[in-house]
Amino acid sequence: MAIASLVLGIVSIVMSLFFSSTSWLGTVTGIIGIILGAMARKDPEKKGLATAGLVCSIIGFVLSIIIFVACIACVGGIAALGISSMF
Amino acid sequence: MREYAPSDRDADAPVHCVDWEAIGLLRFIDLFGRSIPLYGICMATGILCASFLAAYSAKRYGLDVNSLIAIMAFAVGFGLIGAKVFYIVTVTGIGNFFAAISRGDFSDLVGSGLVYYGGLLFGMLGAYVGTRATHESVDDVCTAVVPAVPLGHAFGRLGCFCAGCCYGIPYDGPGSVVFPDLAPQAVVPVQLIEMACNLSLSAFLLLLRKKGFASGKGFLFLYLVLYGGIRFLLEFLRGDVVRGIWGIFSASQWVSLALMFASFAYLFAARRRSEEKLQGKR
Repeated sequence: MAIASLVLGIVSIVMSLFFSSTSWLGTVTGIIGIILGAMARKDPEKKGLATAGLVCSIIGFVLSIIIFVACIACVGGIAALGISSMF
Repeated sequence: MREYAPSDRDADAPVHCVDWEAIGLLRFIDLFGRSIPLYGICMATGILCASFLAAYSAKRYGLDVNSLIAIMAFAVGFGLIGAKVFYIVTVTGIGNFFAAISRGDFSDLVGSGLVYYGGLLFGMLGAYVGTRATHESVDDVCTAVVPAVPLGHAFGRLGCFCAGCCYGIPYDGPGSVVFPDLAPQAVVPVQLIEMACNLSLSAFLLLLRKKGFASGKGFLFLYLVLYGGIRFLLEFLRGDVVRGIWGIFSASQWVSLALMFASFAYLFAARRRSEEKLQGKR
């Protein structure tokens, strides 16, 4: 679980930094990475790796949600502009 | 009520009407050469602040911090799905959504908007799944997490104000704001009013918890009653056109009424059960 969390966290960071169109995927991998990392931290032997995975996943999730919600705000704004101009 | 175009807002807008762009609240900020939207920053800040507040409370109520992080992640994940599902059902329409998908247009799925009540209901489901997965007590999780929910929501509403969405009805008195390219008139800053209500609600719930007046599942239902009432009233001040209207009320007002009714029923039944227990002991 600790290794899976680290891998998902790194994938999440890469998705959020380099691929704006797939940032929603970074959000998904970030959340799964956080869950796996938090669960894995309960095992004292794998706590270091799990903490690294948890931190990477949190960073990836936060960056992804900023980009993902950016997209929502833009499209929502354009939609509102289109509809208000119709009335 | 006159309309303000972007070109004449500086010259003709009333002096007591705050021009949203003039006070520096921009939709994007430039950081490291990239345009970063304030909406996303506010939402991420809200999730982080809510998680920190819940984690800070975790130990006091006998919860493992790692379990609480996992539960919060379950809640946020389910919440994002729920917020999108509610948006598609109430605003886009299921038929229009599937028609767009069949044309290869995924903008409603990865773009557009989110609905808070969808996030709240699915988030509660996610938190329950997380609680079961981590073998924690539902009552302890409710006690630790509930005051954090309106805190996170307050940041979300600040994000709405920055993005210029979820604005109020036309009004050009003191405190009104102009979103020149979204709403053609001066409007009520209902996002900021809801933000203030959420912050007050969070402080009130923290005070109730500190004094020992509320805890467990009843604490969650108390939040639902209070927020439902606030949202039901504030919806009368909402003037944005991109949201669901069903009959005399908006979709959010129907959900508020349903949540308040269900929560009142639970609180009444819980009070009756505790009274019967007390009488049984005597």
